[in-house]
Amino acid sequence: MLPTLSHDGDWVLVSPLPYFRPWAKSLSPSRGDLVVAFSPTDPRNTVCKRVIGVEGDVVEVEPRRGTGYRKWMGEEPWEEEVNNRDAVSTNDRPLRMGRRGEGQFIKVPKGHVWLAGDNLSNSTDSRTYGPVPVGIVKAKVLARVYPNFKWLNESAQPRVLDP
Amino acid sequence: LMTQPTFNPDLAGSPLHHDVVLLERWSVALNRFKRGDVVTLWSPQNPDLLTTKRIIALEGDLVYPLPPSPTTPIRIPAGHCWVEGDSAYQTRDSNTYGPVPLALITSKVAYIAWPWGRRGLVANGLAKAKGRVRRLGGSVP
Repeated sequence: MLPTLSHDGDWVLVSPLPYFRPWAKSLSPSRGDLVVAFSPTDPRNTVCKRVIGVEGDVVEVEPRRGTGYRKWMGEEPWEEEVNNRDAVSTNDRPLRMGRRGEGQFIKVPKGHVWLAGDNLSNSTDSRTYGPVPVGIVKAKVLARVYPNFKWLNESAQPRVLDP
Repeated sequence: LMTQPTFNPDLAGSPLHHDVVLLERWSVALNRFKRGDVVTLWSPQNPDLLTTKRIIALEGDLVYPLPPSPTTPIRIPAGHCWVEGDSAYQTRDSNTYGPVPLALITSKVAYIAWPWGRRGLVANGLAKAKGRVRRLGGSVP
């Protein structure tokens, strides 16, 4: 969750109340919320991710682009030439869909959310295990208490792509 | 409506009288899930709805699903399970929405307290899913 939170040693303030009736107007997490959820791959672990899409949203599976990203992901030398050619269209969407989901869009089903960590290069999130049911979300992260106190309440607006 | 005839078998006849059951949360806290257990879980389609289903398969198992799911066998991913309702005719379960994460399970249904005639422990067993599961995974934990 770099750079928002450190991977080790940060203390955060969480609360299940924002998603708990009767105080909450909308019980589902909103876009941009930092949430704490049970891991879909192991119910004993919890994960801290950001809600990128709510039900009905169309999210791009892998938004990362660029030469540095492709090399970091272990692109083979013979792939580099092919990938450089017409890799990106004018809309910033690849003309050729990537193996990891670049340029692929998925509609988040009813009752589900799309989670993504802030540090996309090292995060196991919905890009791996798909949209998760809202029932798995435990609490909302309100603030980072230690080392520097900071309220964490940015919200994300969807970026509208040309149709 | 799940689980007729295991629970609420006379719902059509006496719609005001629902079964009263005892829920047990220790199994969930200790992460002990067994195939054949009846559990309560948040519905994956509607997070405000608590549903009651039976665990048919755990992670690693191979399940042969029923319609409306496609008939190809499904391997349950890690941390997930396959739940089905006991009713043979009308149930919305994993055959509709696929494997569900174990984190959605809130408690195990242990005992029927009312009506008096049907009181007793809820039986463990695969019910209508017998023969449709290959136990390739271990038990959980």
